[in-house]
Amino acid sequence: MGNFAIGNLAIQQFHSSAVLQFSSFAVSQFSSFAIQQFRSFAVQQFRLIDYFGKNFKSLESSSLFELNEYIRKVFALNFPEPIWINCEISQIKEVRGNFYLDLVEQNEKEEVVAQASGVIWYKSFLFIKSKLGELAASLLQAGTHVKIKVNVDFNERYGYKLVIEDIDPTYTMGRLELARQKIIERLKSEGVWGLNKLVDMPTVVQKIALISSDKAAGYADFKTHLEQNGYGYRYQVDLFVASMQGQNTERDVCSAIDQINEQKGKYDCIVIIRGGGSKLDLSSFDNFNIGYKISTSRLPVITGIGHEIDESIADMTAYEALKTPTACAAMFIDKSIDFEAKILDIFQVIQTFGRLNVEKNMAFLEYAEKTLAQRPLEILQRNKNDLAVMNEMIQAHVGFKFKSASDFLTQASKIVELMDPQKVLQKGYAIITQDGKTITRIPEFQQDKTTYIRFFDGEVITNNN
Amino acid sequence: MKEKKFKYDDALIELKQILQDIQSDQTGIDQLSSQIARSKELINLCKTRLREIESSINPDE
Repeated sequence: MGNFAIGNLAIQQFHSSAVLQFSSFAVSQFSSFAIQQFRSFAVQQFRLIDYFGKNFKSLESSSLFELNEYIRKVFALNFPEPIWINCEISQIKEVRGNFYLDLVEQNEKEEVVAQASGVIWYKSFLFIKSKLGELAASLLQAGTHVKIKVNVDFNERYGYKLVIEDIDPTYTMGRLELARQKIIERLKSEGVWGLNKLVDMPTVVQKIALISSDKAAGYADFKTHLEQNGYGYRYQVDLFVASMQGQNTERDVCSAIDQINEQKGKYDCIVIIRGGGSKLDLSSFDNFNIGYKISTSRLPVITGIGHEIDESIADMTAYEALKTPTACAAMFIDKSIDFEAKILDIFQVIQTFGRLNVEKNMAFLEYAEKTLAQRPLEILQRNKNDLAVMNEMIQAHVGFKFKSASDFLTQASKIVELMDPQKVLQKGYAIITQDGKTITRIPEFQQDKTTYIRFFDGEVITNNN
Repeated sequence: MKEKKFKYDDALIELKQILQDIQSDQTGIDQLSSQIARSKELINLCKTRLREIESSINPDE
């Protein structure tokens, strides 16, 4: 600033005037303000006449063009070269290759404290695009904080304008990174950091709640990849439409997560998908509320937000972050394959053990069958043998008994023969009976009773009366 | 399945008992014939069941 030859005080005044608004719409106010300013310092400090050939004291009689021409010269003199400034793009529109921007600066209370119009002419844009590639389009968006190289320009007719010649992306990245770190710290201090990683992920995911834009290429990639899996797996994918970039992203994504979590048991997990884009496009996902919703989601959240270098807050808080929508789909298919493989393994083990069991049982049955066929025969045979032995024994015993019996009989018949009373009587013996009783002793004999005397050849009856 | 409420395990227990009885000479001659008939029946039922199971284990064989 010290190098400014003229009007530097005025510039400083502009900077310190918080309420000053520079825009093409406010040229007239600016002009009258500028006149006052210039008057006061011009008279006191500078010999403006040397430079502009006109005494500013007579400005009251000058035309508007003369004033603006004068201001243009002050600008031109003080900003001989472009300078770098930091600001935020509040609005941007493209007209025939040229970009028209509203640049602002906000204080901590998010009040606009400075504003200016900016433009990127087509030629400069080509240069910026060739230098930054895809990032250029990402940087040139409303809401982005940028460090830009500007020519401070004043045109008699169109007023004050910053002509943008270059953009320093590292500033924007650095700011984003800083903002991101703050969000991470806040999520940690609220105790929700990493919570979603502790949620249970089903072994097989089939009911998927998809948060995406229906127009996003990533959405089509995801659906196609899932539907065309070569294993015949079926997935139910319900789309919850949400903006995937810009200022509505936060609102849409948060309400979709709430909506999905409210439908208990309807979904296995949440997938947030976006189709590619540069890092800056994804800055919507470096958002505290999205991070908070993902962290505290009941269902596991998978992100396929689509970038390669860095992770967004959404990715970091998610259950799992994948690079692309296709990778998300592939992960679900892999999970199904893993599960099927495990089931097949288990089935094989069951099959093997089942087979062994059947074989074991079959072997036992064979053994039982064989044993039961043989054993009864053995038993029968042994019983037969027993019978034969018993028979022999009985035979032997009967023979013996028979002999002894016949011996006995022979002897008995001999005895009987000897004892036959007829034969004894023949030998001269007689049998005396009284009252039917045989008298074998003298005392038994009674003189007065009738006595029967039996001889060999007849009976004699004696009566002593 | 062919017999009502046929249970392999019950059949096996009965078969083992018959086998044990026959091996340890506990079976009287009078029961021998009926025991043999019963064991044949049980073995057939068990084998049929095993073959069913076997074919369900190896569906493509």
